[in-house]
This record gives sequence, structure tokens and C-alpha cells, in this order.
Amino acid sequence: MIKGKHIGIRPLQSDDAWILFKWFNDPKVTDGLGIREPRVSISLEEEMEIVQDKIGKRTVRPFLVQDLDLDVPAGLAELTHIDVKNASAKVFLVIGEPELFTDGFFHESLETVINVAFQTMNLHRLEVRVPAYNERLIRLYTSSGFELEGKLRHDHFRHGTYVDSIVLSKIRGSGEMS
Amino acid sequence: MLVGDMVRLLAVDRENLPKFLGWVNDPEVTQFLMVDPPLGMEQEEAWFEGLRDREAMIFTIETKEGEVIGNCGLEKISWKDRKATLGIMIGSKAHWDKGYGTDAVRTLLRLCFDELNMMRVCLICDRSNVRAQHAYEKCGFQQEGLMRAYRYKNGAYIDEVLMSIIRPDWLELQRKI
Repeated sequence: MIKGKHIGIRPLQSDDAWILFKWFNDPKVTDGLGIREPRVSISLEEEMEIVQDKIGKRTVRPFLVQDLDLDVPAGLAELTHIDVKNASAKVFLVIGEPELFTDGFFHESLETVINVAFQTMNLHRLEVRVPAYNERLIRLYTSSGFELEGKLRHDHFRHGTYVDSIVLSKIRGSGEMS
Repeated sequence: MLVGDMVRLLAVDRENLPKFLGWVNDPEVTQFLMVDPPLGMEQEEAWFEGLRDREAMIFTIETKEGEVIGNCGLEKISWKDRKATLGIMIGSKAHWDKGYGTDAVRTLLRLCFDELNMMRVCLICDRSNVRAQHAYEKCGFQQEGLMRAYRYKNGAYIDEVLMSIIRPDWLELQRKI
């Protein structure tokens, strides 16, 4: 477990499928993520397969975010599309318990992941896609030094209309923090 | 394909294997190399098959005239640490001492530092192989250690020189050229 002040991250394990199953079936959690897959609900079996697959892949590093004060699992933090030659990866961070999702909690989780990516894995570039309507997420990534990079127009269909996503990135050594 | 001044580096092809096998079984060629002959064709093929599963990049060295004269490459690539170990064999004795090896090493270093963003490239070389050490120094390698009784060959333990070039050395060299 890599510990911050209030949160810790540890490698995702097969046993964690049940909690992901719970989070990814909660519209309060999934609604603002800009998920593109045509999936409105996920079965425990599907979730178990997804977890197994992630754990076995060298291009994915999945972590479970733990609330250290309450000692409960609180979210999923992943580095995906890890490209070792170019030292880049994509970030996916979800706080699965809506009542724990404060700006401070997200910020500390994100900083911990950034720290692992840059200081432990020696990565150079982190990228994230955030739905354009999720201003809170954009603000949270920006406050950790992510910079706006571009817009993916109409990249997913949601609530009866096509919506845009924003791509942000953070380059090691640029901006404040980390 | 990587192009140097005198050589081209190409992905190893199965059709190169008989030539490689002849070289690794020639005591004169392998006098200073980390290979332990005798080796058979099936072992050579197993080596070839294994290349794709390893963190390695091995190339056939060809002259500009198209003659295959050896092989070289990177082994033990660690992307996280941005480092690799370099190895080379000039199997064709007619091409020894003519600068082909040096050019191949320089071409590999250019790959390492300019394309793969490596921080460090190292190699080991028999202590008595002064000719090779001199060539590596010309390419920018520095001796950084001596490993005593590192391997056993022809009835005796021999010492190995550890050499490396790191990114700042390479950039300094490029500035001077």
C-alpha cells in the first residue's frame, strides 16, 4: 500500500471484483465518466473477467484507492495504455463511493497516482479524457497540473445527444506539483 | 532498417541462421565472446524463436554492398530504468579491423539515445580483448569496473571489463562532432 495522508493505493486483486461490480452499477458513479461502452449494467461475472484481464496485462496498472480514515475501499485508479518506449500512459480515476467524493479526496488520490507514474514507473506523459460536461473533473485534473490539449467532438452519445470529451495531459516536470 | 556510414542493421531473418551458426562455432570468432560452442542448428533456431519473447532487439549487420558480416543488438532492455546491454559479433574475419564494428556500435547507440530515449547502455568485454575496449572507447564508452573471475572459458576463469555510456556522455559527444 502506498499511503498518502487520507488515502492509500494498492494493486487491484481478483477479490476486488465485487466492489467494482457495485460501483459500476451505480448511476451516481458512472453518469459523469463519459463511458463509451454500450453497457448500462455489468454482471459480477463480467466484472471478474475484466479484473482478471487487467491484472494480467503489462500495459495496465490498476490500483484500488483505500480511504485510510474509514478503512474502506473508495475508488479505482488505473494507468492504462502504458507505452514503455515513449513513457506514456492514460489515467482513469473513479471515486466509487459518492459520499467520499470530495475535491480533496480526489486530489490526493490523483496526486498519488501521478507520483507512482512519474517517480516509480519513470513515465513522462499522462493523458486523460474527461467528458466536456463534467466541469468538476476538468477542474480537478487542471488543479493537479493537467493542461487542456484538445476536444473530441461528439465522441459519445449520452442522454439523447452527442457530447464532446476533453483531452488533458500532464508532462513530467511541467506545471506545479509532482 | 538502421543505416550507418558503412553498415546497415536489419532485423534478423531465419535465412541468416546458417551463417550465424558457422560463426559461433568458429573458435577464432568466439575467442572473446559470451557464447559457449559447440552449438547446433536447433539451438540456433531456439535462440531465434526466443528473440520475440525477450526484451531484446537483435540485428543482422550488413555492409552497404549487401554482405552479411555479423550481428549486434540490445539485450536486457529495461524500459523503466531506460537502460540496455549492448552486444556485437563481427563473424566475417575479412571485415575485422576495418571499422565495421565501430560503425555498427555507433549506429546502435544512435538508436538507443535518439530513438529509444535510453539513459544508459552498458557492455562487458574480456579484459584481454584490448582491441575491442579501444573501439568501444572511440564510441564513447568508459570503463567503470573490473569483474574478477567473471566467467570460465577454455579451462580458466577470466576477468571482464564493465563499460558504459550514459546519456550526458552521448550528448557531449554529439556536441563535439
